[in-house]
Amino acid sequence: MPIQATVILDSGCFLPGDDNSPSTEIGYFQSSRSSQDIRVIADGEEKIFTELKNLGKNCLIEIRHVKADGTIYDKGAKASTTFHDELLHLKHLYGEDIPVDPKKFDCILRFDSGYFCGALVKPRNFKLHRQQAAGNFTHSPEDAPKSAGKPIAHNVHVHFKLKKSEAIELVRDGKVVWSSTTSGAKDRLEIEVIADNTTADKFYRQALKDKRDNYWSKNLHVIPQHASWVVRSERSERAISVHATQAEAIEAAREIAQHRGSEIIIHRADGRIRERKSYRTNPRLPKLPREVLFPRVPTVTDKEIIKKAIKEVINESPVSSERESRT
Amino acid sequence: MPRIPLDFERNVFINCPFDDLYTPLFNAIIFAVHDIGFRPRCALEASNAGQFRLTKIMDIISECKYSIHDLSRTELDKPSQLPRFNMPLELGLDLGCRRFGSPHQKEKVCLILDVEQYRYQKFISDISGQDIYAHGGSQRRVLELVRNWLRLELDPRIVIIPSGAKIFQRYKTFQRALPSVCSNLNWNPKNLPFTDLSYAIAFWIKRNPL
Repeated sequence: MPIQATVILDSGCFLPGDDNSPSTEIGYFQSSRSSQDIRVIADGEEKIFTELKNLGKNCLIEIRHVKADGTIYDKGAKASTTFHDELLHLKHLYGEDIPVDPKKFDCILRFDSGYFCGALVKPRNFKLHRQQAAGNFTHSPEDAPKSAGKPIAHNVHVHFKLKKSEAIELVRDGKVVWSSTTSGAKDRLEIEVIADNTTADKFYRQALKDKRDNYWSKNLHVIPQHASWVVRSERSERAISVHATQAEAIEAAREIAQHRGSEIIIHRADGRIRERKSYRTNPRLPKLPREVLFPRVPTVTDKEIIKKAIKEVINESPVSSERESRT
Repeated sequence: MPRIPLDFERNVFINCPFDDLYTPLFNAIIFAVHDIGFRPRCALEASNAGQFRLTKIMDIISECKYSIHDLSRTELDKPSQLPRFNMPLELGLDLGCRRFGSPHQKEKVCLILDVEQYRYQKFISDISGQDIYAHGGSQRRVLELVRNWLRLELDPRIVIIPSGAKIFQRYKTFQRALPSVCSNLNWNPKNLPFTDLSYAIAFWIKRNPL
């Protein structure tokens, strides 16, 4: 009987990553000394593990899904189709992507497998804090609360299905500090990574290197116009600059994009996109599957009957059994 | 401010011959468009709608940011000894929509295909300067062309985009399953209604994620 294990992330920030690595890394702030950093609930009962009280500072915590033979699932995490849209992105608050300094976090949580989903997805308002002359940040009651503009996930759940003799291990700087085998869980296991009330202050005031608000960081398009090439902000009719050649326009766009931390989209003479160049520090998120878009017009055959026929054929085909299980 | 149609940025208009010879390529294009995460649209949608065909085609063109135009059938029709003009006409409508349409329609992009690389210069030389790609009648090639063209429209850092070879492999698997699906549904595999096939492909992809 497999054990359904869920890591519940109360707070954290997806960090930029290396495109060649499947790892998903999340910056995390430790709770205050009085709170437990990680709480384990096995089959509905809390288990106390003193080694999980404080995750530590300046360290890397790997959450590993270990197979029965001791090897690790390491092909990368997956995510629900709606996950990306459910997250709060810094541009929702600041109007543009903001660089995040990974060194400012207490520790980094790394996942090489797991299935990410948003949880407690609901609207949320944020209080605007402004920096004062003395350097501190204060909130003025006169400032209207900022909304993310959409419901956002207040928690993130990372699901693992543990087959017989498989385990979740927490590894600090290469050394195993806890294994789910000690939890005694037979059916389900919840591992809560807790963020206390001090987290928001640390996150918004320390982790963001550069806080600017009230202006947008739009992507830049290099497009042909009449006999010349223009640099234009996305969804804007007005050209920022006009150039005789595409190379000159790309160079001008590059300078602006580097300053804004945005992306250049270079078009061909026929308007098609030739290439994109990014100067943005993007959070590294688990990659999403492409959305499957169904036709919007009526079918000749009832679509439920088509669905049933496809399902039957797939169930008979060996292809379905070859599919990788979710890890 | 003109209203942008729902899913405008994900709709792909397919303008190609609807004859038996072209069906394998047409089906491959429909599969590739679905597998990359877009929605194929074409004039065959119009057949059930009871709407004037050209009006319906113009509606579809106006609702699609992307379009694939295949100019393969320009030779003379054997019985009538006249060329088929539907494909160049719809290409013209699409280019006109981009040129004279609303601001969002000026962002339209198209992929023009033919059997041979420079053949179009002999019968539609006014489109010289556009990139026209030759598929040589190969399903694998047409599938790769569509994939490589649409791939730039999604962010590979966020979305899993299958390679051309992977899509071809998945298409082959789908093709192996299709006769059984047709048998279950009493469909004629050589004459599938476009929307039914599109639904079947979408359901198959949904149940066979990467």
